[in-house]
Amino acid sequence: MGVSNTFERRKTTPGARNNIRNIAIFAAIAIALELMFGDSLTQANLVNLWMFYACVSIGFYYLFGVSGQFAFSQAAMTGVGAYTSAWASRDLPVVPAIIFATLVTAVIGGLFVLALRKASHFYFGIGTLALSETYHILAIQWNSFTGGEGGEVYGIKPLVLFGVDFTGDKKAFWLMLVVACGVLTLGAMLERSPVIRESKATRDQRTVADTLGIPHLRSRVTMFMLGSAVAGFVGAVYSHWKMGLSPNTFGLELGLGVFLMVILGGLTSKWGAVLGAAFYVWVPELISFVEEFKLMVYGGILLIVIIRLPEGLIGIEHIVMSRVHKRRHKDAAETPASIAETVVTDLPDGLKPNLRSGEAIILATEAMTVRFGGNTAVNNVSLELKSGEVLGLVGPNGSGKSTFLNAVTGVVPAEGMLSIYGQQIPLGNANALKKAGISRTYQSPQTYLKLTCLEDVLLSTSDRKFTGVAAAILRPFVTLKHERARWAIAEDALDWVGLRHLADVKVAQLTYGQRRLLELARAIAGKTSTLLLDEPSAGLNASETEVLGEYLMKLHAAGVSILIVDHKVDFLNSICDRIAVLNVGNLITIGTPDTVWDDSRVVDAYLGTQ
Amino acid sequence: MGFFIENLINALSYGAAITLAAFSFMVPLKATNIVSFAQGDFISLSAFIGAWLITDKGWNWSIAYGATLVIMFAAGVVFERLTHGPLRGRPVDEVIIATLGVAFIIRGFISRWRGANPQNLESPLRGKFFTFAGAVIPYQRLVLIAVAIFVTLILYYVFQRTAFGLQLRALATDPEVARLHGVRTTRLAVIAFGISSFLCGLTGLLVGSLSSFDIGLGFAIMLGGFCAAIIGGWGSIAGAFVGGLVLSLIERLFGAYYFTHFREMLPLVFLFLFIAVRQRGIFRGAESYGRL
Amino acid sequence: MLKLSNVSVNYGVVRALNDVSFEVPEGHITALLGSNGAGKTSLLRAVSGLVPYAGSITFDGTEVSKLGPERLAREGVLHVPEGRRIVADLTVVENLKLGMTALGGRTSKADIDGVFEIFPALAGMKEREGWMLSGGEQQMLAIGRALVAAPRLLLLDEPSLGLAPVIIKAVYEALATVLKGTTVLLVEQSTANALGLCNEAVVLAQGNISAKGAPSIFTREFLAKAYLGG
Repeated sequence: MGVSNTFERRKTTPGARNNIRNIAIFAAIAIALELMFGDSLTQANLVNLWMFYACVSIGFYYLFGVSGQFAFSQAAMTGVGAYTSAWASRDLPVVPAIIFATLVTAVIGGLFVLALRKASHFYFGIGTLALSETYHILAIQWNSFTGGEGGEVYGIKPLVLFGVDFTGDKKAFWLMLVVACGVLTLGAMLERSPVIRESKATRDQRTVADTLGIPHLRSRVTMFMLGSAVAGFVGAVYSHWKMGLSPNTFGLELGLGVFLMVILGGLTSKWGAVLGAAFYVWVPELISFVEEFKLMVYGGILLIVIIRLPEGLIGIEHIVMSRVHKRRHKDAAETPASIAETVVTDLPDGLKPNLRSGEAIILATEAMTVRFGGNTAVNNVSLELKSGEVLGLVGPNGSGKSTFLNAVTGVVPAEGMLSIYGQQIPLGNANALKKAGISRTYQSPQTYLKLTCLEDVLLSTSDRKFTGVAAAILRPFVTLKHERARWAIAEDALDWVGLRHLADVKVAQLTYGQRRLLELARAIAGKTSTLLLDEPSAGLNASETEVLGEYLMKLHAAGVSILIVDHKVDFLNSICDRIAVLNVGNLITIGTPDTVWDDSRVVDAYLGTQ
Repeated sequence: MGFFIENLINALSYGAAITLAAFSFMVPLKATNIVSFAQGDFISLSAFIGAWLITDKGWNWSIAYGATLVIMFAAGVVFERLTHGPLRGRPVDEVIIATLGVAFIIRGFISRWRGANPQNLESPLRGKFFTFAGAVIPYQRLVLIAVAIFVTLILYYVFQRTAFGLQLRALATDPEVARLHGVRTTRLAVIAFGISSFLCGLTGLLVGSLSSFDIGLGFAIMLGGFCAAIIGGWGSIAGAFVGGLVLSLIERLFGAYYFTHFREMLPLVFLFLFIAVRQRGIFRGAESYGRL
Repeated sequence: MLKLSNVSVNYGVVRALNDVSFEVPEGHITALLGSNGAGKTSLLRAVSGLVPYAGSITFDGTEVSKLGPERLAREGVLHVPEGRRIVADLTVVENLKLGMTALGGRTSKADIDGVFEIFPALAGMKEREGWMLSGGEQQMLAIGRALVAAPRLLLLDEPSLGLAPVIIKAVYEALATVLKGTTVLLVEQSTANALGLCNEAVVLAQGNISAKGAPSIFTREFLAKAYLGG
């Protein structure tokens, strides 16, 4: 009780301060390179190209690395921006032309993802290959638009700002530096908002994200638009910097090149893209024989990196840092506290569920049936979960318990009727459950291994305002304010399950039992009033199961209703008000813990006797 | 009439080429669930090797063809050992990116080795033609069509009737069960990549001798192959055949009369439509790799 | 025939099987019982080479830990997995032909027609694709698919899973006749049928062996307590 006030609230994410520092370092390196080598024409051009490629591949990092959309279209999108801006600047001043081109690429990207929203992973990739090819054909053939034979355009208007025309590599350096820092800052703003974690959640496990109420289509569309818009924007800037365009500049070679850059640099951070771009630009320059064998070297490196160093160059830093870190925090990293030692406290006020009063039945199914091919996994099951009760659902292996839960939460298609608070809702609508304050957990904990514990819990926080890309960019301070409130709830939830000290640790480093509790914390952070638990004690030993039981009893005391599927009889007896028994998809009986096990039908179901 | 027939034959031979390309990634797809993006460069590679053996080395065309196909099979085996082999158990994306790496290497190798000049691949039928109803019909195109039909029938037989085909189909649907019943997955994957490369070799040799070509030869065919496979129904042999036919008629026959400048976009538009609206393709379900 | 010594299986941070040792003599049927999560399936997957383990497993005197499942299958270790796992796109006959892959040169007295004699229900649906079969039919097909490969050791994982009692009865009646003389490791949650079939039973709880012996010692009361507590 009251623990929520005993620790200091976080004001910002751990990465945010590093972002400011790193952008400053980046700018300093770029300026140093320019001052040292800027007098050489080739080198000046290379520094600019580095920043240009870095921006293109940062955009690609968001749409491929973060959002997980396999796309070959990044270079083509850069080209679309470049040609569109060149076209628009014939009638418009350059700055509006660039803005227009950026918007056009964003819209094309958005429409593309919307059109292919049902496409599987491969198909989407092949679709982007086709998009890239379409760009290429149009750039070569559509002379009236490009304004040059075969897409070879000259004499594009330069960008003039404050009386300076940013042409030629020396002057363009400052332009590109501002552009690159701008793109990096944009990334920093996104990292301070829910956008990145929600995209990753959608990427890694879409069904779980759906049950957490994260709109996956919005996430995919906006991330693709963002990545494309960044490409289109720097492409547009490029066209006015170079004052000329050729379709092959943004051909498939660059389309594959961005893969090389982000993968070589590392897909875990935007800085990977910056590193990869540096490599892409300078390696053929520095090692003279490489130029001749450029593509082979690129290919060989890509192959070696993917096999030997899947985290890329950034990954080396992570490996080193985690070793240093481990030495510094030996106790936290190496001896994770057993959850059996956790002291279970009452649910803090900040996490109290939003209960609806006066409703007797929370969730009811009528004649729920699930068929797989020729099998009926759940047969005509009608079950009610009463307000405030803990209802156990048991049965031998294969009796359809988990399938029933999946049918209720819309993970598998089913027939029958489902009503929530007396209101019938269509099956397969995960969002309706989330809105009614019903959350579920999974048979094996469905936590996000690549997120930190805090991020994982944050996914379920109920405040859905200011969570999108637009909010992160246009209303950064309001977004941050909402984000701070979400952090507070998530930290309270982590604190309650005894994991607050691991808030910034990757979920992958947690023990199995801790992941179970993390999943529970995530459910609680959504102010859930009803929990559907699928074998929460699986994989836990006796004392850990006991702790879990205590947590569930605290939730019960706070008014949370619980439907629990499990196998451990003693555990169920200690927490359940009623127990329902399934066998071969049929509900055979329902009763209190002290009578249900004596029912001979239950014993027969378990022992296979008739 | 002559214009129509010429374009029809032109279209059908193009359809034959992209059908062969579609088969070349369908076979490893069934064995490993991996789509290779290096197939286009394998197609180019075989045409370059063939041209080198015949023109530079002066080999007889039949020996050169045989040698090229053997080299291509071996290249496919090496390809598997470099990409799919070491990345077993890793996310599919990573394996696909590894195939991109190999595509880079082949492309870089060809341009370093032969440069950017157009190449010519001699064949006994090259430049020979007959006229029919005013249409000039090159024999080489007819050969390409005949080979594609022949390969389709063979593959159909292999998949449907042989133990090898059965094992591939089982592997495509449930690799674990396939292993539990003694299917040697590693060996099958190696063979499947070998066959795939062999098919690329066949495509490259036949298409390469139609006219002069450069390093971009394979990419367009690979893209066409993807379109054909998707439009026909991913993983379906009959589908790839029909998809290749439909696409070629749209692009090369319809495109000979309308949208001439942008005709290469026509298959892409169809591809978009199918991916957006009907992912199952004309024939089969997207999920059922094991079926024909 | 099969000997496990101190076998442990871990899945990442979870220990599924803890230092288990026992033997299955040639020609014997050993039933492996226990509630969900006891480690039965993990043990079977270790034996057939699907999951890595610590400790030693020998089959016919040879250490098998280095052999993959495909090699073991060709040696005659046939695993009928949990949930049957019929190849959905293949027909009944094609599934059986797939089963013959594991013969790898060994001779078999059972052939595809033999399977249709054992399970007449399948004979009428030879060309039907796997996904169209009912659970019971799939189970029969899965068993048949292993039998055509002349198993020297048959690993059966929960043949009763999700089946109605009358179907379970039919499956077990067929098993009782065909399994005579075959070495079998049978994992079951539905104990009554398994006990009726086996020569010896091993009960697992939380990854450890909690009881072992002839089927007669496992009374209804004993099992009800082991499974349902109280």
